[in-house]
Amino acid sequence: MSRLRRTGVALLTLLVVAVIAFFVVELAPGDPASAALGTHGTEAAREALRDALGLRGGIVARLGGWLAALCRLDLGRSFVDGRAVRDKILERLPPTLALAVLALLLAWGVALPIALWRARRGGADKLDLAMSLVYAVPVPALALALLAAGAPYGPSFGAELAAAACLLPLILPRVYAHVAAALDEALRGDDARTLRAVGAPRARVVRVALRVQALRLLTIVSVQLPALLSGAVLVEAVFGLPGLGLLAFDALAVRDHPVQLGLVVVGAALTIACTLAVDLAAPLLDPRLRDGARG
Amino acid sequence: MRRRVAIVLLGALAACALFADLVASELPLYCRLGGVTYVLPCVTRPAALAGEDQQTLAARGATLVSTPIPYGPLAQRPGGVLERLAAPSARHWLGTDDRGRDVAARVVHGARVACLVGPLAVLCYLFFGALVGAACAASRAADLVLARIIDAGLTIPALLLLLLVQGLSGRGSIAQVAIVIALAEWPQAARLVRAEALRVAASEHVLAARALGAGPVRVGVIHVLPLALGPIRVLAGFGLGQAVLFESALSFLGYGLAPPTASWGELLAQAAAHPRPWLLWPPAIAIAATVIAARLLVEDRAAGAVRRRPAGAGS
Amino acid sequence: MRLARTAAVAWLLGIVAGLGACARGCGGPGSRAGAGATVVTCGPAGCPADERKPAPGGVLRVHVEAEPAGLCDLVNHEAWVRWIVENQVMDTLLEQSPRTGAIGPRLAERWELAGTGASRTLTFHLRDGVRFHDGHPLGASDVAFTLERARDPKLGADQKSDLDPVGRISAPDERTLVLALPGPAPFLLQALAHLAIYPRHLLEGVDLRTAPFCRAPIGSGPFRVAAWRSGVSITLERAPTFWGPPAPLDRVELVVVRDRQAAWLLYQRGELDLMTRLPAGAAAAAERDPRLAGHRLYRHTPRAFFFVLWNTRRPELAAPATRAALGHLVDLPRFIEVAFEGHARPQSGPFVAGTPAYDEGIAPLAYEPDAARAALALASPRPRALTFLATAGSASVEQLATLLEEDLRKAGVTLTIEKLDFSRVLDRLRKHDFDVTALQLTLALEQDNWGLFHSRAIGEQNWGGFADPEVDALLDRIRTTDDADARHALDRAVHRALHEHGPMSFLVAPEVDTALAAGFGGVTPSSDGLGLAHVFRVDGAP
Repeated sequence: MSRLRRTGVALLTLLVVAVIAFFVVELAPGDPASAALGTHGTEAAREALRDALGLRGGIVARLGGWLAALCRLDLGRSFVDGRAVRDKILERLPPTLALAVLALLLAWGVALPIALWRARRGGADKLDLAMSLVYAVPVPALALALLAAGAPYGPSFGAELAAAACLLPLILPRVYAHVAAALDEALRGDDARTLRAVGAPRARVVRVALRVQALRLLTIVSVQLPALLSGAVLVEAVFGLPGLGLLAFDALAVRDHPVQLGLVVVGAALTIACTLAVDLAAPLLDPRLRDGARG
Repeated sequence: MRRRVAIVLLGALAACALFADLVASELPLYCRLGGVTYVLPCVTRPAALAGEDQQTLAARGATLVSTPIPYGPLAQRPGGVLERLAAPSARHWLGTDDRGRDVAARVVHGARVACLVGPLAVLCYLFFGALVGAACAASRAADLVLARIIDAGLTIPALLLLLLVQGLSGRGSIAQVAIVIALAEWPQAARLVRAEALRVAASEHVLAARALGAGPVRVGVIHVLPLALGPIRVLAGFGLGQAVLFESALSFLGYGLAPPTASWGELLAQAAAHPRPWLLWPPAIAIAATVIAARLLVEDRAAGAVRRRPAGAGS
Repeated sequence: MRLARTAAVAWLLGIVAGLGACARGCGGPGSRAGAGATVVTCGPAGCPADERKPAPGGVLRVHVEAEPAGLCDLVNHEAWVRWIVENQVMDTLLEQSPRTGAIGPRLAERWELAGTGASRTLTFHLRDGVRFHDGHPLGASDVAFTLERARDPKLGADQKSDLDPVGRISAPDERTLVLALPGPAPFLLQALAHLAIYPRHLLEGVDLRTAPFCRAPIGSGPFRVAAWRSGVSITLERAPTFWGPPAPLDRVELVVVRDRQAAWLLYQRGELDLMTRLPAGAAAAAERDPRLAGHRLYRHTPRAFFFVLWNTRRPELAAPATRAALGHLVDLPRFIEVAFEGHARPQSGPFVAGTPAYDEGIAPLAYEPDAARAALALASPRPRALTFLATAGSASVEQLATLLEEDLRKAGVTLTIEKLDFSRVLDRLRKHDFDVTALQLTLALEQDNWGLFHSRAIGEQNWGGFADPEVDALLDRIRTTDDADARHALDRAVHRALHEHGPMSFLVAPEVDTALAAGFGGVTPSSDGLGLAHVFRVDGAP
């Protein structure tokens, strides 16, 4: 597929996400005006608030308006305090992004050496099993345990690191499985066999194998982002990180539609952008995929 | 050997689920009170014994054969005695929770939830995922649209879907939790099936079928679908454990099964609010055992398949 | 094989670590009774005075459980907002003693009623020399502006119904405010004691809901908002422009920690100085923890009441006898033990216990399962299956629900529990789409129960659908009786009537523990806040 076509497809996916998210959020029961006014609100106040929030009008008309604003990169204004959704998200993005990056780095840092060792031994089924044990660790309990053991609280690097470590059970098994499979394949592949036949040192064989599979390994990164965002909710509260996870949870509780939609779109855009970047960078990493050779 | 371990573990899980009432219940296995004999009242629940439990029956002088764990999962004041957050003792083997309910009984009855939620969710998302994935191979136009929907499904966070489903019924039933899990996981299954289906659709025997004049539906259902289901088997094993974990995360956030249903996730949520090891470790070990067993069962078959393939055949 | 053994050892280590970690934090060996924090009981007469010597300055870090969307109490209805703002960032016109309910001066030095009947007026004389934090003087026009906004039906302020009896509002000069009171207004002064005054010069014509003002409100109180780090903390600092005695503290940091367990860990580590509510089991552990020696636990009863609400519009629940029987199935002593660790006072009506409005002679709900079961057997129509609407996130509601489920089951009634988030619960309550629910509401010292029990409030706050002409008449008369003694007699009549055939089974007023670190004093916790303007750093503490 040509680069232009790939980008077009990515944008189309983003559009589909936006539309689905809009309908999910609008159709979910719960009245934002009622949530904002609480027990004391009168019907008159709720009606006035519904007008102010722009909840009148047919759903399709509102969808059109929202999509049009989206094209201008305007995510609307929060129901709760009227601030621009874009500002709120940008304000909360750094801690969550840092969390995601740290979690991925940690997962890689743990998975890669173990997978290399495994590949050198030619496979270790019991190790695979132990890795799936990690799956079963409950994230919230782990977070509280780390905090009790002395992990720092509040937006600091230490807290981010601790929170990222707590997210490992969510992503480590899959990252490890993919890395192990990729290495296996690479080391059994033609390039590796040729090098081994020629008598190249083990380290070189591994390096070549990694480069060949680099594409596949990078793709894993973008796939983990949605899981990380969902998992972020669980750890951000415990470590006091003012990130997107908590913003999402709060927006759900008070039915803040623009913020919910903004978060979904931003999250999806990040994921899709990652995938697209990897796709576009593919020819650079693997000469066989350059246009001209295969097309 | 590992296959045997997996079968034993899963068998124990299923047995707990089926016979939970015989293992842990507030009514005994056999009871004779005032001349009337009750057999298996823990299952039949006779109206005459409503409001009684094994402790009060014993106090009233009935002869009874009690269940191994003489408490039910919902009994907060067995025999009128409230003991909350009690450490494991001879009376309560795994201690009690914050409402005085016996933890061992709740773990046993929690197996019932795990046995239902897990397979139900996995079936749902495998079915739906396989359908969408295979449909992608029907035509290029279908692929364009459906692949985008699959991608979209992969990027929408599970929390949002949760809210919609929870709002639609609000009852926190097993079916509802299973549907939420299915909604969160189906794109993964669809993606794998789609990749396999596209590969199979380009293979020789499908082309041959098409050349012989078979319609797209016939081709899809009879030729493509069975072969495209390979990768799903591994996903099923992974998915079972994951469904149980997802249910525990939902309970922790407060959106799980309606109280007072006993589930492992609910015990973990209690452990977060009241840090006690006997609230944390039993459900964690039970979940871990289920996850491992499911993986073992599935992985062994896949590993066996890999071994049987001739070396050097590529991927 | 080696790997399996390693894995087994790892698990065992984990179990040991888990048990060890809990032993430290759960009051295991190594702690003695009386070695830790001191419990200070604050009865209805208030907290005992703190005799320690105050030292000027200091930074107090207070735990806040949720970050409010904004600090304008007219539009942000979270409980924290009033608590942070009232008489700390912004001033109120009058002051109400949390103990006696007596109204005293604050921004208004004195006030008097004049005239009779339709030409009655209430005139306030405002204090001189009051300035907002930006230097602008505070005058009657600001008060008038705030009152107009508060009674705007489209804004939805909590005080609106109390301000309804007010007619024309005028400010002949900046020191005088005149309110026309054509009819009785028994709850007006109380409402004015909890209405923060906003600056007109900054908010004229501005939509309060979306105003950036609410992220950094300018008031006239002893503290001003110095910084707000989104999701992290709100910093208040002493305002030099305050008209009264300056607050002893230099700064107050309101630290947002959403998880109460995590906050307790931070408090124990010394990263927080004040926690308004302790998590379950923490108080008992704190008393035995030697690390917390010198810390104080103020045990007080906020003016909240916890109740079970029956939907009287359901045919099975329409008869008061059935509701009473069901109420007697609530195991109150066990509920207090499970949900509040024994720290809750049984309450029998929707008034603050200890005030003249509360009839002490009415006994709280007793747990009588046998009598209740017998009564239910005779009820017609007999309730067979009920749905309990529980708010997600409230542990005590869920604990009550499971307790009730067990007792109802033994009485032959199946209870299905539905857990929904609060906004959906509210929607269903207004539409009367439930059978039974449990809630906690805050009471005012002079409580106006019209909105909860009057038949005209059905569809708004009268969620139980209760319609009783006798109670209606009493509630109407209460709203038109200025004389306190007469009103309290009517209140007691309402209390009796609701106890006999109301839609609610009144349960408890929970007690709350507020923890204060050793280096600080002067905290007076109550439902209206902590009185941060009087909190001081103890002399001699670091």
